[in-house]
Amino acid sequence: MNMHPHRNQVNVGTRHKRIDALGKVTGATIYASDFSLPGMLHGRILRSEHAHAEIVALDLSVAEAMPGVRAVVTAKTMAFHRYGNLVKDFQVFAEGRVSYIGQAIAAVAADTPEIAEAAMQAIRVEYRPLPAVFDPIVAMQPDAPVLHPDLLQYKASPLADRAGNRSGRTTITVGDVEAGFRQSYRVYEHRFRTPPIHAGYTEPRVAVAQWDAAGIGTVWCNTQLLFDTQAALAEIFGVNVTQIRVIVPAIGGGFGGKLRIGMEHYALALARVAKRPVRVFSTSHEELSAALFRYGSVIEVKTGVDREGRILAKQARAIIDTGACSGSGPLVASTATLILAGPYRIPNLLLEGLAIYTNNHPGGSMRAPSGPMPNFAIESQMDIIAADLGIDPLEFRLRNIIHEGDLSATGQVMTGVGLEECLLKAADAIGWDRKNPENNRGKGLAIGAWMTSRGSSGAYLKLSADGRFTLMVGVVELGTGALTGVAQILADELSVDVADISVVSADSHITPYDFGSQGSRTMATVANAARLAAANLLGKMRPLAAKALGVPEAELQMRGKGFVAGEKSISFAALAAQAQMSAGGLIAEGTYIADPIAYDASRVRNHFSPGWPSPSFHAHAVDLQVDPMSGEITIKDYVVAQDVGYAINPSNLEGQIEGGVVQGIGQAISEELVQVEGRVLNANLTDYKMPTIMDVPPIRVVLVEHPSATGPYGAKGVGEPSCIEPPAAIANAVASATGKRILDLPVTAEKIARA
Amino acid sequence: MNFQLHKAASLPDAIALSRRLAPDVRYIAGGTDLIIQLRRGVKSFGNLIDLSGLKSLRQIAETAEGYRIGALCTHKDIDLHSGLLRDYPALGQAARVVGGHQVRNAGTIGGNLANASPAADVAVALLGLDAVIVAAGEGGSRHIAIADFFTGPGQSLLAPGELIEAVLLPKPAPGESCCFLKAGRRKAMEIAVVSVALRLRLDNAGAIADIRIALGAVGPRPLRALGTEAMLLGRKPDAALIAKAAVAIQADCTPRSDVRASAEYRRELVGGMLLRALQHCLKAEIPHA
Amino acid sequence: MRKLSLTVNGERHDIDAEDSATLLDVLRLKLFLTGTKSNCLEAECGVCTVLIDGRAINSCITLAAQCEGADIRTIEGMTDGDKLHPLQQSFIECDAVQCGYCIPGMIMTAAGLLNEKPNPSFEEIQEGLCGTLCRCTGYTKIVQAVQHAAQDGRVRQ
Repeated sequence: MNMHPHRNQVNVGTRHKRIDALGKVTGATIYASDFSLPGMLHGRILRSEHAHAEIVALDLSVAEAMPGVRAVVTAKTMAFHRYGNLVKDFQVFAEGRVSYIGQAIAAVAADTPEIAEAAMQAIRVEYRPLPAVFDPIVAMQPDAPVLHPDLLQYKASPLADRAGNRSGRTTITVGDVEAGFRQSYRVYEHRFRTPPIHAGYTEPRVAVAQWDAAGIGTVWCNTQLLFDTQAALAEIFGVNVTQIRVIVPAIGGGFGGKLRIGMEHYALALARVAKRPVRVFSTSHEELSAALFRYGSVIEVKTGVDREGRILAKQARAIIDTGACSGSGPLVASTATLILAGPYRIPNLLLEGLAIYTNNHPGGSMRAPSGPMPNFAIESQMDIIAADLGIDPLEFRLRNIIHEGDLSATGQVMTGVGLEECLLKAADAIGWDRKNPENNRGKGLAIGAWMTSRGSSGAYLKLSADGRFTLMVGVVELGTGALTGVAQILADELSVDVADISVVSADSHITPYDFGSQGSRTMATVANAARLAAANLLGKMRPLAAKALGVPEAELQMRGKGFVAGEKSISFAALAAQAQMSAGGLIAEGTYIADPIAYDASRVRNHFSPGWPSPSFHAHAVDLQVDPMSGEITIKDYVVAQDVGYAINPSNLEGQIEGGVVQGIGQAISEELVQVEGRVLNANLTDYKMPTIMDVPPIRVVLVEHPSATGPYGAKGVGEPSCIEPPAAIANAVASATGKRILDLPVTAEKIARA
Repeated sequence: MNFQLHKAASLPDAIALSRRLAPDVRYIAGGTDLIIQLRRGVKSFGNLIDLSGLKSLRQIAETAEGYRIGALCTHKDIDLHSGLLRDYPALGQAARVVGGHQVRNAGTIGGNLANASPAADVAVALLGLDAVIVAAGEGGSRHIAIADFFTGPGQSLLAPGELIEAVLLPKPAPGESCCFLKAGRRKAMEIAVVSVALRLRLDNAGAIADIRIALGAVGPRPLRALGTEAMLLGRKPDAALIAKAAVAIQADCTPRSDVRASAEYRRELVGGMLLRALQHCLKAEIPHA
Repeated sequence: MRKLSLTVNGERHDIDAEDSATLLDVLRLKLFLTGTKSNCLEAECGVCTVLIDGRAINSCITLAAQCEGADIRTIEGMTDGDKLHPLQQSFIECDAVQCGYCIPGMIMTAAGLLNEKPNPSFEEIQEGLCGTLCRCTGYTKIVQAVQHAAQDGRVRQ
């Protein structure tokens, strides 16, 4: 799609108010958790208390006999097929063996949530513990307990390179790292660790399910991926995809934590047995102990530099602890290799991403799933090296960053590279040149790059007899404002007001296929599909208008919500009415997917995302103070300069960046799921520390615009990347303030005080 | 969570209800701790006696001896009372960092004490202020010195059926100062990792004439740092003495490691926070020895 | 089960509810006022915030039976006919809304703050909203929205 601004650009580029705001500020918006059906039952899930154990006995009799209990479901109730997005290693219910705490063993549906809870507690499970492994480094050893003895028999993506406890291995090789290290003036080696993190959406995962007389199972839920959920459920229940209907009324946050099925399969299974609608709502404890977390990781980085501070070689590996099922792990580990490379020119690279099974709870894909962990490692190490070489961290980065036309680690030619501008603007805004004004005060920088994911989008567009357009799309409005951006674009393409565009979304039986609300792609890809639908619709409208006005099509101009030709005019409303009477109505579709990105296949093995469509670039700068007594961090100022390509709606982009930064600050200083032998010890919001409003300063955002070749109007994906750099930027600022370097996230007050 | 709620019409009514329903009964006021514990299944009671209708227990009265704070006064009530804030800054400082405003608007001072959490903010402040707890039971009311009140985690001297009616605070002596400090993992919505309440008065010669040091989250109950108090009493607080006190106080507590912090970190914090609290109460720079 | 008489948004409702029913349960399940949201149920996230006699509380840990005789106000009661409350208006104008799930609770928290402090400083706004978590916005635009609503006494007392 061309990047040139439309000639009739009225709404694009403005701070147009969100199309979904009114319902949200009045409480009128119905979210998935507000949805109910008559006769609806309430489900609860019995989850494993053991990290690895044989199930010796499972006694349902007391639960089944309880008044008000309508269904008790286990692996034996019906044929459930294994599922999983890359490797089919997930079971709906444990079959004879549990391999993580929180694994579902049975589910109960009852008249009330209280009865369901009591019935769940009345199920007796007898376990025989098995040897377990919780550290991915240990799990990689040949004598470690094997979690999936039949791993190679599972259906899986051909890129998921499996062996032992490994569900995926990706490598990037460029030049000769050993030669690069030999040429180096100094070589640095560090190991970093990052814990699992909860996505922190405020609406817990929920599903209401019902099967109809035709055998169609419908779920009203809060998934981010309508069609992935539909496909996964069809696979689990062994039915065609059109026998599963997925509807998202509205969703209270996702951040990647709601990409994959959460409660939907349990609700459908219970509804099938009970022959009643069933609602399953995740409790706070379940969320924080049995959700699809951001993966914990171990990151090893070895970097060689010359005397002038140019990076000559880097060898690094990201070891992703996927927990007992691989989930998104092979993809996350794979993409991590490109984060390990960083947005730097490095002639010699050997990068490895590993997805490793352990008996921890399986994780998933939180916002920029591969981003913060390797970025924390490499950007922390950049500052360690700069300090050792006596080079300013800003200068050290400027000497090594990529520029327009440089190759990425996979050999992609990078274009639209606004990195230097981001770095300089962020440094300028934070006052990088001014010395730290007080003791224990410090500034830190971190930079990075991220992609705009590919994937298909479809759009249906119709013109109604009131002159208003209805766009139907298969994505979910996560809250990013993506669909407001799409409506702004469509309004300009059709020369109408944003208020003339209605958007209907997220019903798998009505709206067209879409890859879903993920990967910073929603606005860009859906808008391109919608623009094609608009072009197609105009292609139908113009001949009808020309005929109605008795003029050649070439004389038609769009103006005043209609077509004008000299003195003659016809409104869109009149045209639609005429079309309904005589031409079958006005409806069109558009589909879009970004072109694949060329890369050098000889550099990579088993890479899931070697080419990055519309890469984005970002620089973060923070100014903070550390209390030397307690180690407590107070963030004084935080600046993000982000290359967004083109800002379709600056306000909504700022909102994405501000929110992502605060999630990143949480990961940097306070958030971690504390796991001991596979058990989360802080599975409540008292002890899982998401930032409150008191923990963060106002975030300052500088939008940098180096247009993408493919995004609408040059726009790049914006949703994910702002959470990538805060851990490194903050760790670097803490080191600057205190001289203390923390290599394990989060950088807590205690770690600083006791370092 | 399944119980019968009984609304008490008066204090004697509440006590009578409690006797009738014993032992499967508990009083509820703001419920900010109790409902969470009931829902988690940590506690279970068949009957709750609702005290929230006892409006007479939600008064703050200034008396000749000091203040009488009704047990149903909320954290917010304390934070909005200019007399209390003037006379006992530590109390406001503690009440202001309990949960969010929603919890401060509902949670009561009586509940904070009766819950007997080792990390309770207001309880620690009151311990430092030598509060007296007025407990009402079948035999009438009795006074319990707060230093005796807490007996263990979630445990106090309250007898079955007894409830807290009010808290008495002595009028501060002239020249007395106090403060409350709290360390947590965030800047709000925190259960204390360590809290310190300090009350201090110097004599005309500049020696410490009176001192109370109360500590939260470093033992099985809110603690008095009796050893450190004794060490400081009668001495002139110079930098060397304060540094010594910051070390000595580590022996006055028995912190444990948990998901919020390690015992070692808590020990270090207690010393640093005591130093800060002493500096705050002494206002002026500490003279070098 | 007990009979309760609750005054919600100025309207009296006579209902039957379990003794253990929370105000949140009653609002959402009996009165169908689903604008008040449900999440942690432990007074940590704030999405369930409503006003009781003008003060913000967590409806998830407040027993409905303890609210008889009180003036209960929910997000649905903030609009005056079609006219938005200044806080609602400014949350739209300042783009302080994203997924929106915390927003009813955030607006009610802010309303409680403005009842106490009609002209709060920046720091007072931050402190006043600390009991309600937002995971989307990073809070920057939320503070701006409350500042905007509080300016010039726009909020009715």
